[in-house]
Amino acid sequence: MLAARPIPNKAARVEEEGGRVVIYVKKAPGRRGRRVWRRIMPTRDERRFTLDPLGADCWRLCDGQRTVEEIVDRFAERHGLSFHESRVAVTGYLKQLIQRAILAIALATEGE
Amino acid sequence: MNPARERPRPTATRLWIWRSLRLELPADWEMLQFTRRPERGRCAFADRYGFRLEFTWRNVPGPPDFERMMNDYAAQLRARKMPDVRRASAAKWPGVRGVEDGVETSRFGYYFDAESCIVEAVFLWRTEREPALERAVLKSIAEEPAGPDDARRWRAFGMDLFAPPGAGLEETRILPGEADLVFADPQGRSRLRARRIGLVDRWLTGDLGAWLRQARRRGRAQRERVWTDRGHTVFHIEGQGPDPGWRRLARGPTWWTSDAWRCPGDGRVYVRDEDLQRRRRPVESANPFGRRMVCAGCGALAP
Ligand SMILES: [Zn+2]
Repeated sequence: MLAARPIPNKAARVEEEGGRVVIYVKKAPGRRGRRVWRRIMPTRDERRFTLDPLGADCWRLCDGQRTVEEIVDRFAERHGLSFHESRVAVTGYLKQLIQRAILAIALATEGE
Repeated sequence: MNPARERPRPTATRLWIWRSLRLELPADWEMLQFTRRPERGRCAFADRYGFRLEFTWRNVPGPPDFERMMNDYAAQLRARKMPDVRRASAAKWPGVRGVEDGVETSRFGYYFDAESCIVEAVFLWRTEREPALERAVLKSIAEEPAGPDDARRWRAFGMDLFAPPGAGLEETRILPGEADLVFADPQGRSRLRARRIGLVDRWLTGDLGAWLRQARRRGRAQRERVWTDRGHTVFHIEGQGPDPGWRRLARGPTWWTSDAWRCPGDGRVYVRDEDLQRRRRPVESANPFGRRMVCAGCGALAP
């Protein structure tokens, strides 16, 4: 897991709102019935996800180049945490971001 | 993680004291698992890539026959289809080593007389086994003598402290940036809560003294003091009660004290809250910082 690389979803739209980071991600097209319903009752085709300041910092560190280990190290350095404290916090945020399709994970290949 | 790409281990070491047993480990090994029970328990330490050491203790009535124990143990491991199990010893600790679940493992045992307990140290060698490190760690494991008034010393999660006499570790809360340990005696006459809190700029907006006053102030006869020690500005507040009448009659009032400081070294806030039920005012230490609790990164308590 430490060697994996979080890749941000290029389609995600990021806005800063009052010190918080808000990320908008396009919703999946969904089933046919729902598509028809949406035509009758239009709703936002984006999902909104607000990050607290620490989550926002974690998100900013995910530049597609850094590995999880590097992100954990940077996060620890910035917030005065030990490696494992930072690992618990960072992996918690990454899990949320992956579940919401804001991040994808590129697993390390052998020898990396 | 490919072991060849792992970072080199720092040369610095860190002292841990848990259940009156001390051990010195590489500075990047953190305690990720622990139990509080003094009779039987376990702590596990990991570096950034995985678990490195399991440390277990068990109270026994007298010294065991280690020779027989280790031979029996080696035989058990061989029976579990681990044919390469060998006897080993390091720094006077008898042991066995072999490959368990695909990981090279060395297990050592020792009996500690004053604590009447068997301690087992299990090293997990994800990379090549390091006999010098094994020896250094085993040599460092010892019983920690009791401090003033027979108080037990604990050194973990960045704090070095004396628990009240007779008090065991009752509650723990370990989160990223927050360690909270509560010690209490079985009769409920003394209680110590020791905290080390990080991410300070996220929760402390004003003055630390005002925060402590707001968090702790209760009862009556309050006194406040502020002093500086080794670059640490310590806020101290103390008072008495409130106590239900029956308890006050039976045991005397609750004398409470709180100290808080922000460490200039690691930027974290340390808080020490103590409640003591006594008929008389407890003897006040002239300077609690450095006598009952310090930041582990800044100093050590004198045993
Ligand atoms: Zn300090």
